[in-house]
Amino acid sequence: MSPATPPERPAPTPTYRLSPGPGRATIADLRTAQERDRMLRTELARVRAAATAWRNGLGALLVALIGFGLIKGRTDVSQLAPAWAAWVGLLLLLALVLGALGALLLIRAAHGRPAVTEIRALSSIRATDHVEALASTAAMRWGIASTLGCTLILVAAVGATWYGPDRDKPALQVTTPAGTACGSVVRLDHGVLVLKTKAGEIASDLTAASTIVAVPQCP
Amino acid sequence: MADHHNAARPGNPDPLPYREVTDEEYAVIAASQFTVEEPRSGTLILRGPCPRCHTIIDIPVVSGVFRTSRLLGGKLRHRQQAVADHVEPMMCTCEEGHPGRPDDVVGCGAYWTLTLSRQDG
Repeated sequence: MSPATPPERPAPTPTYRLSPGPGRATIADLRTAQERDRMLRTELARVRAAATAWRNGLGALLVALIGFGLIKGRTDVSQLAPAWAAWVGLLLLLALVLGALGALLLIRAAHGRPAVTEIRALSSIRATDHVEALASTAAMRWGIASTLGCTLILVAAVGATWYGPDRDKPALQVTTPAGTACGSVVRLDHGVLVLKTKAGEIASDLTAASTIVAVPQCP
Repeated sequence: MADHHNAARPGNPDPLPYREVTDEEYAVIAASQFTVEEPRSGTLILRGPCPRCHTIIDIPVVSGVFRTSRLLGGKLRHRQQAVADHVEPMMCTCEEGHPGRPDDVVGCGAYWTLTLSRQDG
């Protein structure tokens, strides 16, 4: 029987000892303390302002991108080759998720988290504000990264939609006494149908045709 | 000359005038009377009475602060590091009224330094 494993001890909590500083404080120490105090007192407001600016700027960038996407190019994903259409759909889904996440994170950074804080946790307003400022800064950074990622993926999706290969066009399969021809229609002239097949253009006399079948793809 | 011996005591209706003043005894008093809390790694709260005006104050000691210019290039991990041993310049941060205090500052003007030593375990 193996000996019981001793329970893991929790990580030791650091404690801090205070002692007088070396020598007499100088007026430079006071100015440093005043500057740090000023930075801390304004920190949360500065984070909120920066997050609001980033939110507005990235929102404008996305609006501009949507406007750019409307300029020219294919807009119907169903015209793309099936594999490309699937990838574009995946990219659009990813862009939607990243865009929503980025927007939520930037809104959280700009306006805070809607939550009730335990009154016991509010031992120091400035320390609490500092902790909130750090959390908001982290949310802002992730929000910026997510929104930029969304933008890049949207660009990729629009590019793939514009430049991806066409879906195969429906073909006709015509059977005549001379044989069977399958391909896309080139022209119809006086009862003679010209099909573009893998072997080139083939003319078929429709008056002699026994069957004409529309097929999604030639065999 | 420091005026902590004549400092306003609790209940004294006459507030001390604002004076940028220090004394070696300020640091001794603060070191013996201030407590330290760590609400989160990298953020300490030093709390105790100001050695001069005796108002209870709390002074956050943090390892990093938000700056826009460091937003993209800054190291996020930096703020999560524990506050290492160092000398911290401190000042009274009370918001009580002290005649003669400039508009853009807080406190009674007292300042001093403390050495913060981390002791694991």
